[in-house]
Amino acid sequence: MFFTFPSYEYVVPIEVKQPGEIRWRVMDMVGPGFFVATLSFPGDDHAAIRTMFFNWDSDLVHMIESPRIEAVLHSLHYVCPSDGREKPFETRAVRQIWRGVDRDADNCEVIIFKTTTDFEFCGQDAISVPHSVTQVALIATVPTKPACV
Amino acid sequence: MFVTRPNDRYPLPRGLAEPDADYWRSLALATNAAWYVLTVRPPTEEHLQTTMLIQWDVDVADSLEASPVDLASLLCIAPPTYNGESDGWSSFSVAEVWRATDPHEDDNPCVVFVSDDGREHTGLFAEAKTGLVKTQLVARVNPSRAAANDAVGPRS
Repeated sequence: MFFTFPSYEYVVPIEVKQPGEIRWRVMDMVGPGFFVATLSFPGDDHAAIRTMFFNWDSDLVHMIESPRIEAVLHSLHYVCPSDGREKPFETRAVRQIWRGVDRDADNCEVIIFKTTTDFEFCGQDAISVPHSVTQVALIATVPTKPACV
Repeated sequence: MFVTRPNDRYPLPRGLAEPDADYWRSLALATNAAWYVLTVRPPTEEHLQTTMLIQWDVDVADSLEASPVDLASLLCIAPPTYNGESDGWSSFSVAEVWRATDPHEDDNPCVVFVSDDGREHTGLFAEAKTGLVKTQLVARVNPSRAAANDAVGPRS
């Protein structure tokens, strides 16, 4: 989860921001990692690819699948900061997002991410996909390009 | 800058929240400039670590100088080049952070990030640059715990 304190705010004139919008120089975060997606929306200029950060896989999928938003996903990475000790910094380039169900958990929905290195993980904690999870449907294919986050 | 909107807010119960803190489930970037993921270890017995997303290079340097922390890892995420070679973000792990001056820019002060491969990066877009005059080391990533970034290709 991301969190901010008042001193982190970057104050800009109200005329240059949308109602309710707050701009920040710094974001703190807690948790194992986060998703960074580049997206574009209908009506956007070709060069106006937006970069968005998500804590939860469900929010990301909601954004992609929303018929009101019609977002086009250009790249997706899972960023997992170092734990400050043994675990190094890690980024995972995602090439596909799948919906699955976990038969050991009352068939609850699971979001599965397949990386460009053929690794699969699921959930916000980016755990390995349990054997009890079955893939059901492809949610999105991500264009993968070299040297991108 | 990072941008939040009302829909991004995560309604953490007041009893669980830090005083004055706002919690967010998502956010966006407002500027097409480099940004940084900084992980530091404060000198505490608990060995807790803190991770921050920081927009500006000067804030990275100021944060590291403001308190005696151990730099665990620093990743720079740089914007697309728009030159036909890449339309995605690129990244590099930082080994050292320096205060410097840039002879090509009237000796203006700047912050230099030395990447794992020894190249020096500076400016709004963290471009690789030569000839910078490093004046003061701000921080060096602890070599025994240096960051790794296997999944992202090196920046060209």
